[in-house]
Amino acid sequence: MIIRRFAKSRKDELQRWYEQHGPALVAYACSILGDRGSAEDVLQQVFLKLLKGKIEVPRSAVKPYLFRAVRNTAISLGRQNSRNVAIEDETGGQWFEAPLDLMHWSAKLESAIRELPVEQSEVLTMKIWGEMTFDEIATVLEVPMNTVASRYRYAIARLRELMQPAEVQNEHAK
Amino acid sequence: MNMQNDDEKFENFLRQFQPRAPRHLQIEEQAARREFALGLMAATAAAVIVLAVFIIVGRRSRTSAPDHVQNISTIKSSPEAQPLTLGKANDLLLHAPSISAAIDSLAGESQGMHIQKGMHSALAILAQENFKERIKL
Repeated sequence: MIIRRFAKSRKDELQRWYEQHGPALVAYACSILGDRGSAEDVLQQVFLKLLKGKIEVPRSAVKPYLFRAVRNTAISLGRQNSRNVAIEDETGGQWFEAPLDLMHWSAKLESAIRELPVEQSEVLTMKIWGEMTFDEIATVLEVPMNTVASRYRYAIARLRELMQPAEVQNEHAK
Repeated sequence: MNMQNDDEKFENFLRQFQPRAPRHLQIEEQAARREFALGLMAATAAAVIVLAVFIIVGRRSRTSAPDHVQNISTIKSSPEAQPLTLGKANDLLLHAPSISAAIDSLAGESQGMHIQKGMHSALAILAQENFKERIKL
């Protein structure tokens, strides 16, 4: 009875984290691996490890910890597989959902992120979709905060170039 | 200033794209497996504890057995066991705490014992005698 209760509470907690941070985490793994299918595998691996109790998550910093775990697992997996090979999986490999009027930008955004160096794309993903502070990102990457801020600025600038700024400006000016 | 403003606009534009949710977390099966493993471990631990308690209780009851039983066991396990003779049987009956204990010890001693050549055990002699015929005579 106690065991069942313990297992259930652990499972519920993980489920909550997965629903809360899963989309941003999978986008982050995509930015490292460049492949949606592999990114999802990474996420499953991380959460299964957590379920088995092999990792103790500090309650004060769940989000940075999850991003760190995803990063380590993705890097480990990336060493095994070749990077930058976009494989279309059963989900169609799409990374983002967007309002109908922006749907045609999704694929462009995805390919633009793939074009960025990994150290820039991962900062961008953590900042925009992970809604993390530079300080938290610096903790995850184990680099100074100024480096993170610099990478982010470069990433934004490069992404604007890649997404043809004039068109983008027109879109969000509407 | 204007550039910064543009960056903010671009960031807001990017935020309109939401990362797609990952596929359902496949922890149901894993959780069930883990629960079963934990249950099995708990059951095994409980069984080991129960077994250990039985062994300890069994040993204690053996060590606290009555005196006459202890006497029998010492007689049985005596390494200097001799073939049973009438004299020895009488001796045992004299010194045993009860008749039943003496009989038990006699039975125990007579098993598996090698009798030297030229000697006969009391039981063998008694068996050779035909009491029924003597009564008839």
